[in-house]
Amino acid sequence: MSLCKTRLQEERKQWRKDHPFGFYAKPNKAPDGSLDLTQWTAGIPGRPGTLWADASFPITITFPEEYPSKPPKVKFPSGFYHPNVYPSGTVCLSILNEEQDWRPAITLKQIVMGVQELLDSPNPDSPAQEPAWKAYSKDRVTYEKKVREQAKRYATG
Amino acid sequence: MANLHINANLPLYIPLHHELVREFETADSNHLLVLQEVQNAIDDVSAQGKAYIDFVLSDDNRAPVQVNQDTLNTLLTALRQHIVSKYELECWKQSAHQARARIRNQQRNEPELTVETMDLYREYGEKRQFADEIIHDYQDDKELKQQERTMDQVVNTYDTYVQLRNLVYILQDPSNPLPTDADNEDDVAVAGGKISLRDPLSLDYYEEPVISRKCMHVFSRATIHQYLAGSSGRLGKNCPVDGCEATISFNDLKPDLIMALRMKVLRKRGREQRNIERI
Ligand SMILES: [Zn+2]
Repeated sequence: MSLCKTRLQEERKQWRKDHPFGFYAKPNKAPDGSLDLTQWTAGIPGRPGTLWADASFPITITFPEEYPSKPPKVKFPSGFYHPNVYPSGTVCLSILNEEQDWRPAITLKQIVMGVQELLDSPNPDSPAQEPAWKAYSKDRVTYEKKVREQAKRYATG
Repeated sequence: MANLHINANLPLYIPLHHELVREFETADSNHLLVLQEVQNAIDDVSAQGKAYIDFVLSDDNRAPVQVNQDTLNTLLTALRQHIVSKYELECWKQSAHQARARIRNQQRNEPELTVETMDLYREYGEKRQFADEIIHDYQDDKELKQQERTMDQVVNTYDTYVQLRNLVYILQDPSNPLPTDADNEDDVAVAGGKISLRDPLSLDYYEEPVISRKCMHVFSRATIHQYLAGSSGRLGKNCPVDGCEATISFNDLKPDLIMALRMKVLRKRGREQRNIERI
């Protein structure tokens, strides 16, 4: 069995056994009803006490064949409002970049927690979209308003 | 009548006789025989140690085995003594080699001891005899070597010794950290004081664990080989473990016999568990 497949089965087992509070993650179903371990859907809760609180933001995680040598790709819905998210929804995060901090030992749990951390702590040095980045650096009032509006759309409970 | 004065005092230093020099030259081959004997003894005790570990972990023992501490101590003491002997013989070999070269040189320049040369040697005074020289060299060399590596470090390079020494801890719990691990905690995958028994690449239990000499991270042989297969030979790749700065290549990997022992204990426990459930 390929390393990619073994690893993804273990990731699934371990996620089901134990995962951080408020998060969910599951492999997608293929058209024939079987599980596609290379495509996952997950939800990232905003941290309590931040602009992102009381909402769960959906992401898709796509694992390449070379996983875990290469990192998975993480995407929010397209048009997601965040300085480090490309217009396509792709997340720009150093631990998800093979040339930067990706290491094969980084687990799914570490990835989703890294994305949660990124929500309220954007990296001003790697702008990925114009609107959120500009507002974040020059007009914090507008930025916060937009983030709160978006959080309402993904509100939980 | 001339007053014949005869000095009856023997000189304090006497040159080595030519015949003896030749004998001294052949001492080297004897030494190799002894070294071989010691190596055989190490191999024998190691084999006994391995057999004991296999016995403890075999399926003939349905129930968890009580390790016989006396047997274990006997094996450990014997193994350690032989390893120390080998180490000392190697130091000896090195210094004897140097001493031989020096004595050969010295002897070439010294006239043989006769009545005529006696006075010459009397003037030498209390020069060190050749045997003292060798012992002196040997002690110097040994001291220097021990500054590089302590005797504990030397015995810990013998896998069977390390396995035997830690058998009790690992039998208690295969993910127990070992007493020596406390000294270099940063180098060991410790989760809540426990050693992870899972390969960081597959997240599955270790299979044929190998350890990186550079950073002491442990992997399953197949998964790390697959990871490194994409790298260009000697250059290697980043260690797969996040936060580790090491670059590793195939040459940096060697079997991790301690992790292998942990896995054996884990599997035996699994079988025992199933037996109990069946009953
Ligand atoms: Zn490492």
